Amino acid sequence: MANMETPKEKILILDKVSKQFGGIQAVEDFSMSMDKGELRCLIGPNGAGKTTVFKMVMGVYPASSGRIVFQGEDITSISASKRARKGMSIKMQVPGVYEELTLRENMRIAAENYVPKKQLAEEIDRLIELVHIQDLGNPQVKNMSHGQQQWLEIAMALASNPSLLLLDEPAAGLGPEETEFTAELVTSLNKQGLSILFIEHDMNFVRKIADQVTVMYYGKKFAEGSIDEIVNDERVIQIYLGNS
Amino acid sequence: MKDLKTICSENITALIVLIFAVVFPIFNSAYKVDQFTGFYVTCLLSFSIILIWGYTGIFSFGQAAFYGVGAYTYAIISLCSDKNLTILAALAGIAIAGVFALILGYFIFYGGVNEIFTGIITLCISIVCETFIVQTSGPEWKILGVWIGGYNGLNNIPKIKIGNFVLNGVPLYFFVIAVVFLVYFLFRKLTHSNMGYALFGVRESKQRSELFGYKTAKIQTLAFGASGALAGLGGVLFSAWSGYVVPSTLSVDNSTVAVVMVALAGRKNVTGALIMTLIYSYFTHQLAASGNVFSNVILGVLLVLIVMFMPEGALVELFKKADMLLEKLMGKKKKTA
Amino acid sequence: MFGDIFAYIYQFIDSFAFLVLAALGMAIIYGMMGITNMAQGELIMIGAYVTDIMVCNLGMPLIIGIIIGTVFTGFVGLLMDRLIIKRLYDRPLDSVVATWGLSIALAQLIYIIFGPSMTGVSIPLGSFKVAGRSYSYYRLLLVAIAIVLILITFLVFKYTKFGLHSRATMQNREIANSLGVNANKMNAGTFMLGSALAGLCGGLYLPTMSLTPSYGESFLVQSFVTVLVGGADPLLGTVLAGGGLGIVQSILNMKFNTFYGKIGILLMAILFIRILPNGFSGYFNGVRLKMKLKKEKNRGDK
Repeated sequence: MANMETPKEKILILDKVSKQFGGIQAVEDFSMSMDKGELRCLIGPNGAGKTTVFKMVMGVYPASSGRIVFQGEDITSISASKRARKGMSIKMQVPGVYEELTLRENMRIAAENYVPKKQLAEEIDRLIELVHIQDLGNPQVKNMSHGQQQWLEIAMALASNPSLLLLDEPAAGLGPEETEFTAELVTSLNKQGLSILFIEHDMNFVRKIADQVTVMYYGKKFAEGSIDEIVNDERVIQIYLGNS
Repeated sequence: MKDLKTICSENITALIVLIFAVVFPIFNSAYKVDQFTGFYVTCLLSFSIILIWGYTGIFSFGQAAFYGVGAYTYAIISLCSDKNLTILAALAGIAIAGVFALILGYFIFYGGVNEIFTGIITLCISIVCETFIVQTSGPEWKILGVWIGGYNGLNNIPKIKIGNFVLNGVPLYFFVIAVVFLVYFLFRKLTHSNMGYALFGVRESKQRSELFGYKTAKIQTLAFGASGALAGLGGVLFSAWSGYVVPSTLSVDNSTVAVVMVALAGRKNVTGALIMTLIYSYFTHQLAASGNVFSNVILGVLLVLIVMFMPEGALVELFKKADMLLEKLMGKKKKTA
Repeated sequence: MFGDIFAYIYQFIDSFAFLVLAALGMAIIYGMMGITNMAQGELIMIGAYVTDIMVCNLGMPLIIGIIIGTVFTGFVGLLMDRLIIKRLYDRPLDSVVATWGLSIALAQLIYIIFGPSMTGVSIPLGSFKVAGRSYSYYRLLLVAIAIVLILITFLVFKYTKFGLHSRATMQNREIANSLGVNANKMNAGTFMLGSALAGLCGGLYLPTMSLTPSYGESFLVQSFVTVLVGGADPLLGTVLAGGGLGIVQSILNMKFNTFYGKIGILLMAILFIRILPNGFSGYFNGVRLKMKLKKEKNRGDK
């Protein structure tokens, strides 16, 4: 019998995706694909277009050209709210939480579209515990620390039981212990089958948890491979010029 | 707002107001009862502003326009025939105001226009509506055979009549407070429901809420339609209570008064709005202040000051302070028990 | 035949001038600061009232009266900004409510101080006839002034330091700030400029209307709708909106009356924003920059 490998299901495919803002080409002909269950990191110097790619995947910006395929379905022209309901979630770079509302109110808003009312309170409790903020009580979110807000947003993103989680700089502004916890959290979520695509600048963090890495530079894909390949790639080291 | 079961200053106050409303006719003249009926009707306009501004974060100058649409619709339909069409007129008033708001909302929110521009659009619509009615003084302007009345408005509007029973005086009073407290109760329920949280999410950040699966344009449009219908209900009851309707009913001035009351009490708190509307209406009546030439200046300055220094609202701050006091008292009780 | 064509053209440029003059100040404030100034009508009124007092009570020539009115209104705007608007820069929704409160207080104050009507100013420069219809020279002058104003604004934006800083702030506030543009000063200056322009509009149109406390209302719908349809670019937006809405308004004014003109442009605006929520300027800026990008791509491929 011929050795036929069942192709691994692709959770996300970006096909020559581009984005222009007025006169600026933020992303150009960017193609990338992710297997189901993959833990991939998107890295690159500031301004390389990583967050723009995220926003196009989530639907915050429409792509100027190209295709985006999620779980086998072309979602290029589908609205962001529909994408969320299809199983995509995002933690934004600048905490996308409702600052004037309380912790539990935030969780409720994130969860109520996906969790039946009877199980809502229980599920919120579970998620809050998962990200380790259960001892905070129910403060107004603007009074929470930056790290706590990040974790809250992750909990909110998980409320929909997504198949793809986008994390934009999950370790930003966190101390070493907090970063450690976040790394464990992300790894354990991925082990349970959640496909995760994240952006990070902290290379220790990336090295610790990523399977696959895509490197962006000036809006284009610069390099791609496993974490070991990328870390040892001369050209990648050059474009970072001194970053660890 | 806390839920209805908690013991807190807000719930206690609400209960007091309810009791006050129910026993009021026992201790007051028919004239006073009639006067207060009008005050309670205005509460519905305030509630509609809470729904669209306080809960959904959309500032609308148009609530008085929807109020007026409800009032005029009731007037015209109930006047157009000798038969008793008052119940139909009432339902039509609510429905037409609601549909008008829904259609307008569709054009505003599905385009994704800035919420701030809603202020401009609703202001222009209010102005146009009022000017339209005032300018249509000629008797050639008839709807269903009823002359709109132009500057003078419509008179002799029949009261709501169910069978042979005319809703007037004390029965009308109880009907109105029943409607008002029903709406109040629904608002309290809404605050803890999924729909309520959807509104808050859209209010706090439309963009972010999209990413949690909310169809924000749909939510905004529905909220706008509902608040239009609610204001329309207020207008219907206004016509059915006062017996007359004039163009100034849907004027921007009317909207402004309601906005100031709501802002003063706390735009997100429906108990505050209820109390403030009653208090404000009562005092302006006593002082004949609504005719006072300074009233608009005071209103305007008040609005500026509230927005700048007490955006959460004065009554809400009071409730908070009262709750802290209450907790201390209850804490003391537990210790001595 | 010629008479009819002339009539339509005259009506159109008249409407265009009216819309541009009524909206430019508000558009600049909105474009630069993101603030929707609901007190625009009252600022226009203040300009008119000051001009009227200068001309009727103090016997000054109309031009001087208008200039004084413009400057005075500018200072009123500065006061508004420093006392109130300043605290609400990051709360655009609340600034709508606050400026609204201001507008009703101001309108009432004007009524209290000046009463229900003021001595009018007669329209200067007389009239001329075309094909049996009379037209006003003064209103043609207003068209010329509107065009000159547009040109001056364009030149200021393009060639002065203030203009450069303004455009930077409009593009990206934070970046402009870090590059040394003093946002606070910019805001005060902008609000002052926008208010002055509103006062100018009020003074200019004084000879064409009777001066009552509802004077501002005559401009309200038009200026708001023009800003709405124009979008965030104060110059491009106001000009395009003035043109587009001017066509609608002039036709309706001629066929029916000015009230239907108002309804017409309001309805147009509501339909328009459904399709182009960023107004004319948002759409055209996008198109212009897309074309620029194509050019650069073609050059790069060569």
